[in-house]
Order: sequence, then C-alpha cells, then structure tokens
Amino acid sequence: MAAQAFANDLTTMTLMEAGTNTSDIGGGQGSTDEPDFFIQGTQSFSRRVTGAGSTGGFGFTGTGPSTPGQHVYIWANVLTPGLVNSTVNGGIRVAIGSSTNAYDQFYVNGNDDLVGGWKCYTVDYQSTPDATQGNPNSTDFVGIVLLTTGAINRPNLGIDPIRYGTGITATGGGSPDPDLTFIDIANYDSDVNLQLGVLQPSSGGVALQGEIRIGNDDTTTSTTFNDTDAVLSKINNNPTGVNTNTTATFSGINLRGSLTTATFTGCLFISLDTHDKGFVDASSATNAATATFTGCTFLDWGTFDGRSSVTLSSTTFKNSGIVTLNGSTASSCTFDSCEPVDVGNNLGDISNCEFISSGSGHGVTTSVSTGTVVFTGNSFSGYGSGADAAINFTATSGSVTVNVSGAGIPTFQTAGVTVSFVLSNSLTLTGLEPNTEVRIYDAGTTTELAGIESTSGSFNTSISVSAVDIVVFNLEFIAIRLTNIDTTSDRTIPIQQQEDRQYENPP
Amino acid sequence: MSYTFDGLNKLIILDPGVTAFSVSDLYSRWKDWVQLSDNAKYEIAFDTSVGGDPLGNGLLLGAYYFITNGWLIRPQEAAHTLDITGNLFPIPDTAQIFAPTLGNFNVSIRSQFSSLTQQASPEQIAQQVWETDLSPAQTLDTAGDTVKKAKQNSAAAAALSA
Repeated sequence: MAAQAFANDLTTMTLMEAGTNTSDIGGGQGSTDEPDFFIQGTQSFSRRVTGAGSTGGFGFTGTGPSTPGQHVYIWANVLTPGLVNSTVNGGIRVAIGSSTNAYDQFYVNGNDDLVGGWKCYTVDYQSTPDATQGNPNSTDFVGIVLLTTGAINRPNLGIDPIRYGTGITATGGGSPDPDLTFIDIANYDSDVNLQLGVLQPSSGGVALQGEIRIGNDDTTTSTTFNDTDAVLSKINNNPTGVNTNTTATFSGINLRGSLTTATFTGCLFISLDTHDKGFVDASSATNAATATFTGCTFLDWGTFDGRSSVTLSSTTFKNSGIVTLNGSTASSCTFDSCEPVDVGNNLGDISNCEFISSGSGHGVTTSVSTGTVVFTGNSFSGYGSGADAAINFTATSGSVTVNVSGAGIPTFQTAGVTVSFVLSNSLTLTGLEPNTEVRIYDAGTTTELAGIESTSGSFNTSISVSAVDIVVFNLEFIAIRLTNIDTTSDRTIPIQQQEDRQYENPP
Repeated sequence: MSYTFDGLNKLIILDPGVTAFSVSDLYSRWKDWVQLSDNAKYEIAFDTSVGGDPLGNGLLLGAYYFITNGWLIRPQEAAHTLDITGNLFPIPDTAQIFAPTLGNFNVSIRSQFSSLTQQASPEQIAQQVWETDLSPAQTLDTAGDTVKKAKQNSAAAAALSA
C-alpha cells in the first residue's frame, strides 16, 4: 500500500561527533574524541575515571527535556564494569541538571552487571533522583557519572548520542510493499547514523525502551504491520534497590489510525522490568486501528488496552497487568496469575478462556448491571470467594442473568447488582444401540432433566445442573446407570451397551 | 405379572399365590417394568447379569443374577414355601435379598441353584435329537424304539403297495 516509513520524536542534544564541547565532572584528564569505539556516527567521546571511591564522568550541555513524559536516552560504554560500584551504590549514574556542579543523579547500573558494552540508558527527567549534586535548576546538562572502586589506567567511559523524547512511529507497509515488522523498526533504530535506543535488535529478538507507535492517528495513513513469532523484550530500566528511572507507562506499543491493520501471530512479549512493564494501547487513539493477536504470549507484561477493533485469540497472559477489553473480544485465551481482566459491561466478550488465580484477587471485573449475558467456556481455577472470587461485579444495582455453558459456574462477588447464573452445558451420549431409552436425572434425585423414549446413535441435551445421573435402558442390553456425572463443562460420553443374554420376553 | 415393583421403597413384592419363581423371569419382568412410565428414575434392581456367553461346542456360560442397590424381594403375605430357581446373589455379597412379610408368617425359602456353570443350548439339544441314530435302540417301548418301529412299518407298507 505504501512504502515503510519511520519517524521519531527524539530531540538530539549531541551526537558526540568531532567538535562537540563536552563538560567533565571530577578531576583528571578530560573527555576527548574517541574514534576507536562508538555506537553512532564515526566517533564517541571518552575519558578515564579512576580511583577507589572516586566519582567522575562527563556530559553535554545544551537544551534538555522540558515536556513531561520525555525521557533522556544516553548511550554509554563503561569498559570497566567490574571496577565501578554496585547499582544501589550508584556505580553508573545518569546525571541531569543545570551544570557539572548541579545535577540529579539517577542510578542505572553497576558492577552487578559485568557484561559491559554500549548501553542506552533512559531516564525520566522528572523521576526522583537517587542523589543530587548542588542545586540543579534545569535539565540542560546530561551526562554519565561513575563511582569507581579502583585504579584504572586507560579511558573507561565512552558516551555517544544523547537525546530525549518518547519513541518511534512506523507507518506504511502492505502489499506490494513489505509489511512492517518489529525487526524493520529495530533496523531503522539501530542504523549506525541514528542509533536511537528505543527498539534495538537483540540476540533474543528486539529490545524495547520507549513507545512504538504503529500507524498515525488519522484517517488517511495506511499502515500494515504483520509479525509472526517475534520476541519483544522490555528492557529493565528500573533495577531493584534504587528509585525508578522511567515512568510506569513509558514503554509499549501504541496502535492507532483507522487505516492501520496490525497482526501479531505467535509473538512473545516479555518484560524484564517490574515497574515500566510495557503496554499495548489500542484505546487511546482517536482513530481506531484494527489489531489481531493470535497465539501470542505476554509474560510479566504490563497493561493491555483494547477496543472493539481488537481481537485476542489463543493468547496467553502470565503474571501480567490489567487487560482492559474496551469492547475487544478474547477467545481461547489464558490468563494465568494476572491482574483481573476488565471486560467493562460486556462480560460476554470473553469466551472459552482459562483463568488461573495467583492465589488472590479476581479473574474478571465487570460493570454489567442489566440483561442476559452469554458466558461460554470460561473456566476458573484457584479462585475463592469475596475478594478472591473469580468474577467481581462492580455495579451497585440492577439484575444480570449469566447463561453459563461449557464450564462450571464461577464464584463471584457483587457490589449490589443481583447476579443469577444459569448453567447450561451440553451432554452428549454416543454409540447408543437402536431402541434405547435415555433418561437424565439431577444427580441423586428422581428429577428428570431430559430423556427420550427410544433413540439410536447419539443423544444430545443441554444440562443446567452441575452433575447428573444417566440411565441407558434397552431390553436387549444390560441396563446402564451412570451416577453423579460431572456436567460443569460440555461432556460427550461414549456408551457401550452389553448384550443382555438373560432377558426373556413375556411368555 | 407375578410381581409388584415398588421403586420408591426398592421392593419386589411377590403377588398373592406366588410360591415359586425363576430368577430369570423376575429379572426380565423387572426390565419390562423399568420401561414403563417413569420407572427408569429409580435405582436399578439388578446389576450386570452374566451368562449365556458361548463357550464353544454349543456350550453356554451359566446365568447369574445380582440384585443390588438395596432392592429386596418380599414374599406374599402367607405362610408358605417359596421355591426359587436360578442363581441369585446380592451386591454387596453381605447384603440381604429378602424382606420379611408385613404380617407374621412363616416363609421357607428353597433355592434351587444351577450347579452347572455350563449348559447346552436349546439349539444344540435339538440338533442332537434330530441327528441321533435310532438303529441301536433296543429297549422296548422307548421313544427311540417306537420311532424306529414306525419307520420300519412305513417302509414295509410302502413295499407292499408298490
């Protein structure tokens, strides 16, 4: 439909190319051009930071971020990760302030990460700093500070592009042009002349820190995203033991545009960050995108906000945040140890889904307050009552009838709305001999629920109790009575009737 | 029918005058009763009945019937001897089979179990009869002797009329 196109909203403070005026923190030899190692362009800047208990680094003074939500992206390469202090002690810090004497320090890494190499650190300039030097009154100075633990003999801190912003926008794609994929976006990001650090290729797929916007929020831009078996990891920007560096809603995927179609098949979304876990947002845009998630997995992920143009099927959420359907449908999905799925007042939008409790909390939250809901094939395991009930009805008044089929009646809690569950599962008997009488009774009673005087082959009925007794009777075959058969889900029971060699017709 | 089935109380009540029954008939009439009305709603009186399975050479497995689920047989309200033919056992094996009469009557129960685990089928018996060679029959006035003589007489009459 249209050639792939990429844009970003990152403002570049410096690319650390030749001629850049850097500013040093701490004594010793100052930062200089570094042509030997760089991540972007043709060089970086580097300097040596040395000594036990020494703090030093350098940065750049320009025009820093000032719009809430903007995050600093700064590339740094600490060649001596084993000779800096731990993360909680501020081994590697992002400095944001007004000068080399007045800056906030955000602890981002330390000797607990010995991998080293170029890393793009992201920090919300409005985050609570772990330490502050002087009295900063702006964000115009951005740099890296190390707290070293020993003598170092050669330049050990490199810094390359410093930017601030939120993320990347991808548009276009669609036949005859190739559909957009995550790796396409990552390849754009990681071009040696750009190196944004928002979505980088990684050994395990792509690594995210920031927002990926698929489509423009308009009615005219055609965008086709289609990825299969991709692995997207949300980088851990918020190590334990220190203040959070990014906002909780900094990183994720924004789906938007009425001419946008996004298809995710078998993709894995995994978050390594317990604070900024990653989101999927299809609900914020003015112009709704059409999106389909099939066979995907969200592991330790954040939130998922759908809308009526979004379809979830055979997708697993494990240890993930709130999935807000907003009119989207979820079928054959698994929600394992997740925050409650918010279905709004459309309880019937989930079908054939499996909910597994984490041990506390609800599986589903709904505001439905009236009408009849078809609730098919949704199973709940490990849920209790009250605050741990499977479904939480939040409406304070009204009356709702929930027709359950394909599974048992879930536990529920209500804030006042009257809820009536009607179980209706199918029961099928197969393999019946000709002229067989079938009777279905409420278990342990003589209350007949269904039956037929004479049938052959199969018998099917709808059952609205949790267990039944089944009688299969035929003069030519041994009588069968099956007791207390669980009918909390659809059942198909093959019947094998044994010939009765003893029955004698009346004389 | 010689029996009244009370599904609610799980009783098989022998009608007045009944002093004998075969388990096979009792079992069959119970099945007839189950088919009527809504009687299938009651717990079954007889679990698997076994027997009748061919064992080869025309032999069949002997029949056994198992009364179950607490069903009991109650004799007629009279002092009498009740003759039962057939192999009837309770499930579980320690359960009762008979319920006492309502009135104070002495009822002797005489069970005639089949001691065989095998029996010839009616078809085999018939086949053996039809294929029996009567020429060796020597005992006077036996069926074989009579049929043999009738055959001989028929042949003689045919020869005279030829």
